[in-house]
Amino acid sequence: MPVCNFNCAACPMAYMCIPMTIGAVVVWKRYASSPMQKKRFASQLSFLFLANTAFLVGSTGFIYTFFYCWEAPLAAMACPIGILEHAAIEHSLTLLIYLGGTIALVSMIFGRAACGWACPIGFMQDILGGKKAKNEKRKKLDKKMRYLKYVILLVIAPVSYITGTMAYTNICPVGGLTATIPALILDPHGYTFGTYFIPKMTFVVGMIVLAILLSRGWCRHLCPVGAMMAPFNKVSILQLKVDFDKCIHCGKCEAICPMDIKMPEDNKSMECVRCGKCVSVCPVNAITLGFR
Amino acid sequence: MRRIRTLQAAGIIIALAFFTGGWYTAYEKSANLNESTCLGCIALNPIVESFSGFWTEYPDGYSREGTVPHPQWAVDELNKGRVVMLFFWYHGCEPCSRQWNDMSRAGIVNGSEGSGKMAGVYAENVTLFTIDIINSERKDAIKIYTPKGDIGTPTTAILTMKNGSIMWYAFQGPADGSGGRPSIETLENILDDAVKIRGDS
Repeated sequence: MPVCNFNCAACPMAYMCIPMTIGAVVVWKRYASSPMQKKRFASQLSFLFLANTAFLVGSTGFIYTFFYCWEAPLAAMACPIGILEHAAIEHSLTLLIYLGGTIALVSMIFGRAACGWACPIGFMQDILGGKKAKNEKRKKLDKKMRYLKYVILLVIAPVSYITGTMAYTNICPVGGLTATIPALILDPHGYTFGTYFIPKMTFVVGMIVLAILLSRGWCRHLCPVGAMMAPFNKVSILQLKVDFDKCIHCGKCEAICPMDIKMPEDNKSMECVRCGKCVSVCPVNAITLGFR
Repeated sequence: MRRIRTLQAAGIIIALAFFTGGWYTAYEKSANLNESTCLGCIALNPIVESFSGFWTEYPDGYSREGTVPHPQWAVDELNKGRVVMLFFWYHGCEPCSRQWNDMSRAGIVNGSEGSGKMAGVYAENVTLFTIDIINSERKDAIKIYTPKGDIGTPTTAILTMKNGSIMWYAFQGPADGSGGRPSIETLENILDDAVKIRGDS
């Protein structure tokens, strides 16, 4: 597996770390506008590399609270969706409790901030910079499609339980991107393609196209890990707070929101990834992101 | 506001209790899962050294050289005059269950992946160990038989003995006849060879 003496190519996203870092530098202007966005940039970049530190610390047994794949060579932690599937397949209540506790603990404090500040897939989408849903028809479709991620999350465990298979993992585009492609790069002549190779790669392409066409399209419509954390936005300690006495209703916060949330009214939306762009753009500092 | 604070505190305490309570037993399992590769899950099956006879030591292509540290429980079965087949699998591994079902249909094994036995003519001469690489006590044996000493499923190993010397062959990925991996028919032939060698010695 090691390709160089520093073992950096064992980093499952090494092939992506470099282009993503270059991409991040190219889109730096989007972050340079405010101190908070600079911090978010540093956080996203750090988590991109931290997600791949197993070659330094070994397998930890902890679970990522964002979408990442343990089949990735030397991933440090376990994928929450994979753990959910295993809990269903092995009828393991302890595994389910462990997963639930991990997600709930992080989300009770931070809400869905992991999507906006930590998730490498979220970072990739920020770099790809998809467009917002503009016309009414698209907005309506977008609103309906947002329920899809909850449906996906709700069917994973029953389908895995009934079929005894890693139903989602078999076709998971995040796994395809972070595990299958790196494995092929590290050993291009070492594999034959399995049954799910073509569906998996199709979904990888679909995920990237969606992220290009629609800002945070994957987070909005398809990410089951985001769906796990979303309800906690309503009760988390980290919240977007709006001072309506200060608000001049200029619409800048809604215009910049990558998740197309109806700001400032819907500041506790389950869709909010706590990216803080609305905070940065508000001309009268009516919106704050903080623990309360 | 106070009510919200109370709810938040209660939620965090419950989540922390779930996390720590689950952690006690699930941590090790998660670590094991994390160290393993479900080849079906990444939709890739490794190209392996095709069968051209049993090995006595580690062959070229393995990261180790010399004598193979076969597990004692397998050696004990060999010493009883039997051939040993090891089938490493885990729950949800699609190529594992595919190979198991193919072997069942071919009459090599019967029962489930977790507790199956050798079937038909093989029941008399071959001992099967189906080993769940997350939950089995024998899970570490897989590292002996994979080329890089890693954990990847499915992995199949066949052990036989000739004049006190252990001979073996192993492959990662499903027995589907591609990438050097044996087909189910070839797997049957390998088992037949192993039984013949064990019977002759």
